[in-house]
Amino acid sequence: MTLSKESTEFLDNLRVYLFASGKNEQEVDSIVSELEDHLREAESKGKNIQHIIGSSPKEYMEQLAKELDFDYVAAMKYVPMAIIGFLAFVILGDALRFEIDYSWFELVGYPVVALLLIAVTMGTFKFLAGRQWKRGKQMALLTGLGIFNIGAFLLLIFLSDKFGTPVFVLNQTGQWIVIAISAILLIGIAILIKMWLPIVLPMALYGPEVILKWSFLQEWLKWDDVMITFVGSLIGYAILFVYFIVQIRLLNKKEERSS
Amino acid sequence: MNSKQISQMLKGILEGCLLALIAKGEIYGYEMIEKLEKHGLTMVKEGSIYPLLLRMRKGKLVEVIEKSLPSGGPPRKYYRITEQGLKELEEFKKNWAVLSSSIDNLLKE
Repeated sequence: MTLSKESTEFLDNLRVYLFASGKNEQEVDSIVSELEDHLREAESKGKNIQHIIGSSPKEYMEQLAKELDFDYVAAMKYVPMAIIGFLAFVILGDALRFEIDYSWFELVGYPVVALLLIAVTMGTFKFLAGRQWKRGKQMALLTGLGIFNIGAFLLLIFLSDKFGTPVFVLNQTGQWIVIAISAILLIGIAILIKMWLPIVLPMALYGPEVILKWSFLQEWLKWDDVMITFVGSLIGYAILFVYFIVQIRLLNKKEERSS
Repeated sequence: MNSKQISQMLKGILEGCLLALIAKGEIYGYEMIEKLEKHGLTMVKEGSIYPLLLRMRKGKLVEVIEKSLPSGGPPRKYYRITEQGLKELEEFKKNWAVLSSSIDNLLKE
């Protein structure tokens, strides 16, 4: 017997809520599958989900979260990995444009902004998981999160241009070395988390621009920098869009097989 | 029946009830609910046993054995009482006896 839509949604939200609260992945899986077992049996006897978790899913999620420990080991693994991955991603972009000259402002600012964004993003997902918002309202909040993330960067770059003087400048050999190190770090992280995203993301966002700037293409197309950036970003977003669609399809298939 | 009052009262004693059930033999979550209902404890919110079970497991009062189901799917979690759990249960029985007889006395007057 398959679970009702409400129960499936509740279990998905519970998983996100507990992850975003920094709980251990195995313990989360364990309690979610135990509840799934319970819900299946209860529903087969005609009970609905309110009968089991009460009227407030968020309250119930919080009760479970309180009994699970914060996973410091995973946090110590994933937080530095997220920061390193994020920095490698930013630095790779600058190095590919041969623009590595950082001010103190950026040297301090990037790690701080990275930490802030991780915290805000996790907080947002936890917030959403505890509420049964309509999809439109959810998307609005997530779009807001995206704008906040991009805004934080633009602010940092703007402030740095205005107030920061470069303290860290690399020559061309140095830039190539930086490109190599960043690429290795990103590939390493992709292998560790078993996801293509750390490779696909920079390839999609930086790749098209780099290729469009190849001299023979530039002679042929005769585009200026603005045009190249514009077309490059469009191609990049298209690649990311396809990537996410494929990922979602794969995930759905996997779920179908397991249930 | 005032369900809010009952759920407040149950908060402290449900753990003892679960220990008593688990002490009778290996049992899984849904079965506990059925047994509780059979004993008249129909007011227990089904999901509320899981945070308690997590806490009891952390306190080493119970342990978990996973058993695969004949119908397939992920294994089911059965709970089994530990030595420490048995001691806790004895304690609970004593405390309950004192508490319930005192309150009965008080209410009778």
